[in-house]
Amino acid sequence: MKRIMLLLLAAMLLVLGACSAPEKGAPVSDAPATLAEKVNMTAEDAGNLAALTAEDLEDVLGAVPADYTEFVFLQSEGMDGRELLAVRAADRDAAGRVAGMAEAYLERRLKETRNYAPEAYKLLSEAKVRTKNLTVVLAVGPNGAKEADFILAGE
Amino acid sequence: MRNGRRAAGLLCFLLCLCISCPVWNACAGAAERLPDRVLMSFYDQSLIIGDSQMRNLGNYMRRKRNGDPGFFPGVRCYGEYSLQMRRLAQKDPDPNPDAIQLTYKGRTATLTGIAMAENPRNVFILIGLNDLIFQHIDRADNYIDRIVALRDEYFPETSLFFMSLTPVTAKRTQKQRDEIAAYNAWLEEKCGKIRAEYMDITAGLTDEQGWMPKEITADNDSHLNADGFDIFVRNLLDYAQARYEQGLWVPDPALMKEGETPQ
Repeated sequence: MKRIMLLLLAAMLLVLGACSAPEKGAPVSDAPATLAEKVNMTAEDAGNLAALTAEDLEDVLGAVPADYTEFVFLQSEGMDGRELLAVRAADRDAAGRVAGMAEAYLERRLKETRNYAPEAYKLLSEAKVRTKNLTVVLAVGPNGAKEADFILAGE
Repeated sequence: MRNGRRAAGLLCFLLCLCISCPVWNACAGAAERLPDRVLMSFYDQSLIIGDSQMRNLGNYMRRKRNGDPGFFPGVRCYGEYSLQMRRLAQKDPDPNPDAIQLTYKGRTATLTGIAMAENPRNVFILIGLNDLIFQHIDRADNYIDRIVALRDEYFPETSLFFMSLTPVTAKRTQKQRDEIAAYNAWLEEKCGKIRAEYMDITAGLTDEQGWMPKEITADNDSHLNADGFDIFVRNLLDYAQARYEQGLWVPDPALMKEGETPQ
């Protein structure tokens, strides 16, 4: 009986331990993950992409620092069209503005690549600007939809 | 007699001085290679403008800068896929929403508009493959004249540099390869007649036949990959070194570390 109790206790501890282990890929702490953390967790090629600055973001999109609290903007240096934009807007109005800017940017990229860079055009055609609460994401890439899902989860 | 000896001695001294000056100059001309971070400063307060090639160069530089903030810190690249040279010759943006144009602060822009806002020390331009400008030299002639005229009127303190077109791979025709080489020769001659500089950035980008090796391209056509941009950037640094050796550029002394000052 004692042995059975000990085995049952061990099994319970194992189950409890497994339940409390963090989900694979999810942030380990309880604090909300930064966009940079989320992007690094979901975009396997993040380390090989160019990280654009706030000045670049303003040039490319028109978003100014007052529009957001945080952003990540990664782009490829090749002709593949790969890029990932994630912005936590300052408020709802800003989120609307940023989403509009991202839409205009996507439209512009489609025009530039239409008869010029077929691989990039294909990826851009499959991409969508998505918004959840204050977070706007445009993920262009073979796993763009999954990346956007991951980044927007919990936003 | 004594006066004669003195005069002869003076003459000998003057003769030696005259002979040694060119020797000194020749020695001085063979300057040591400046450190890369000093050569990169040649491009401080500069814009690099062009098409997809320059857009990709901008991202190559950003990626390098992500790891080393001192990598061409003073350069801003503005490039758009499909951009044509004629767009750089416009003062104001084309109101046609379908026109492919540069973007600045989220809006369509021209080279002139960006330069007026940024007031750069230098503007480097590499463009022309998209409009096959190498097959229409008369158009290039016209566009370049307009670009120079716009600079003279709206941002006259800025130095203009026209870069040679980058080569293409054997996927293209021999005719195009030769036309691009001929265009670059024409561009060099053109820059000699106007207030602009020509930059040959093709060194190391071709094989013996003049084709760009596909191994340094992203698309086996004309776009450089990271290996290709390594060479391209080396050419930028070589150009800065040449300007220094010719006495056409003086680096900021503060950037020269003690003990590395070239002879």
